[in-house]
Amino acid sequence: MTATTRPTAHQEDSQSMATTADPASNGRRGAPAPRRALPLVEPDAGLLERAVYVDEDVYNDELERVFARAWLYLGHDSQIPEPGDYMTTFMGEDPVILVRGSDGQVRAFLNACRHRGMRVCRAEEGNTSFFRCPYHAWTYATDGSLRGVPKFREAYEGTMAKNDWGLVQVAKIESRYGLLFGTWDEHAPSLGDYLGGFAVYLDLIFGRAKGGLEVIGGAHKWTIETNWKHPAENFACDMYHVESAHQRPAELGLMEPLELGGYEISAGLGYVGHQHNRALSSDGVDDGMPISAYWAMPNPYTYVLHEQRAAMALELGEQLARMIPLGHATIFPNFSLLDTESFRLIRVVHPLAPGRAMVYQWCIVESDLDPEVRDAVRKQYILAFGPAGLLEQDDGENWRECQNGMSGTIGRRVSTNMGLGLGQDTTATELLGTEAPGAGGGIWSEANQRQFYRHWRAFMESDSWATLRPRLSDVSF
Amino acid sequence: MSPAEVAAGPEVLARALLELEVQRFLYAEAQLLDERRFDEWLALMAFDIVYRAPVRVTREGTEDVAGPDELAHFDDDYGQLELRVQSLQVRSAWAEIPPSRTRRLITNVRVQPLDERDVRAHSNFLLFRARSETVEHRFVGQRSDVLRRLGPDDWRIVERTIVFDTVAFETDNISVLF
Repeated sequence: MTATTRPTAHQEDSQSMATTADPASNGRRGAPAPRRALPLVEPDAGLLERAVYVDEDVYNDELERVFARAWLYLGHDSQIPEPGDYMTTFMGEDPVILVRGSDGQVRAFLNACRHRGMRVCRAEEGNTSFFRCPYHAWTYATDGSLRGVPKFREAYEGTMAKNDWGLVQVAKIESRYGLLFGTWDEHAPSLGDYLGGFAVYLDLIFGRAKGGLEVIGGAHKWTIETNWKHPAENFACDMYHVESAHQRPAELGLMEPLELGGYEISAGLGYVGHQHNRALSSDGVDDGMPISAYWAMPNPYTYVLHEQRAAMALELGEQLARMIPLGHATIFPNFSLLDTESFRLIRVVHPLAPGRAMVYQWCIVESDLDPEVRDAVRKQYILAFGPAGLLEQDDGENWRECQNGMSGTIGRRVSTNMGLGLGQDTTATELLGTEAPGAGGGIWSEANQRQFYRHWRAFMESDSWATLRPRLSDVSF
Repeated sequence: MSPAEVAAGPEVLARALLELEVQRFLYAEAQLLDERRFDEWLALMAFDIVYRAPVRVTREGTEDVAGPDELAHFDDDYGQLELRVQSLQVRSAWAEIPPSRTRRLITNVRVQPLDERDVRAHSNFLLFRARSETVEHRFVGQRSDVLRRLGPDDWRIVERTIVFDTVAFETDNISVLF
């Protein structure tokens, strides 16, 4: 069952590469056999050996088995609206260009020249009609095709077909609400299948913006000396940390105490959680108080939320609409978001090393927001959740120190306790009081983290999407 | 006119004294932050202060400082700065407990009088932060300030724009002030 006993797709592929050297494969081949047996991962018991966060071999296997296979977040439509617009990001450790071709189609490519591997695009964003490698001037069109090769006639004619040497292309791209996801694996299921029941929650978070969404210009980018899974699992499920880790804003009177009621729900490959918001009848729009009185600052976005809740109540029913804003969420593996009463943020946590991660984070708003409200949302986001934000500052410190505490020889053998709310799991329908997809626990539950690691284990123990799909179906809600 | 006569001219002398006074102010201000005397630091801010640090973006061939309606690391008025100062002094300021040891190096000070009271002052900074045993972070950039002179050696910061040289910070967070 485990991939450790699997024969040698890697070696077979290596041999075939050696004999046929098929450039049309775009240089890609199947995932190699895992480097090590998986550490103890027993989500059902709420146990997780800490080697999963610090072991170099586990990390390298993740790059192959999770990041070269899963749907990964790339960017938002609004960041590349015109033909030739591009932005750069990462998929796992691989640098990637996301570009809208001159034909209007969005594609993504490994940001590496096929000749010597140099990044062909070294800006973070811009508009171009081609990508030219400075090293030897191989030149690619925005559809990735190789167009220009200096001295082609003199030195390559008859031995190289340019068609075989385009930029390595991300196999599939799909979008939801303008959020563009890509996967390297052509055998990956559709994004819809991947998201499963989480689509309902995504609709409440993003689909409620009927006039569309756009990302505010600029990005917050910073590294944290921690494993990428600490931030990912925190956004998947961690209302538990709010009272201690974010005591600082509470001490300042910026945050009100959490309500006791809430939910941590997993559906498909997504995870979402929050406290229960107030009912529509007591939204407090008259006094300008935030809709759930959780981040206690003057907040003009409250009125927008109020309207959106009313509209979504007609579509999905009052119980589901009342979830707006939905709090924290992660889509496996490393796309996270916060949907709060004063702003929405989206982030990707790129892995850089077992103990090092790079956060790319953006503020996303309704396209038709009143300029004053938009500016208030932008400022609230910056004050709370940029790297200098009053909440985010403490998370970075804490995740670094988690990594420090578990990196030693003994430390990595110890199991993490992921047992909050163990044995109390129930259905989303039960948690929300209306028919809803998924399952999980109440506000004081690590149900979503346990589910994250069921998914993680399925990815790590599967050789391909063919074996992974049934594994995921078995454990998903 | 000889160089000595030029240098001794009253306008030149006045300008040199002004620059000296501004430098003295910026050094003293940096010392307050290094010594974590945050309330005294806040007292140097005008009530209508605009305190901003736009993000940098590597954009080919165009401006690489984010615009006023784009993202920033700080986009604060007095009230928000007051919150930050308070937040550094509560029991649960985990990012600064135990406190970072910081050293602000302020250099390349250039002063341009704007009117009777206000000057524009540019300065470069290197902020070194050490935490625990081995955590070391560096923040480097330029500040463009508008300073208001209320009296001899009595200044308020009316506007501060911090332009970091960094796009992606390798500092876990930004829990220090500039």
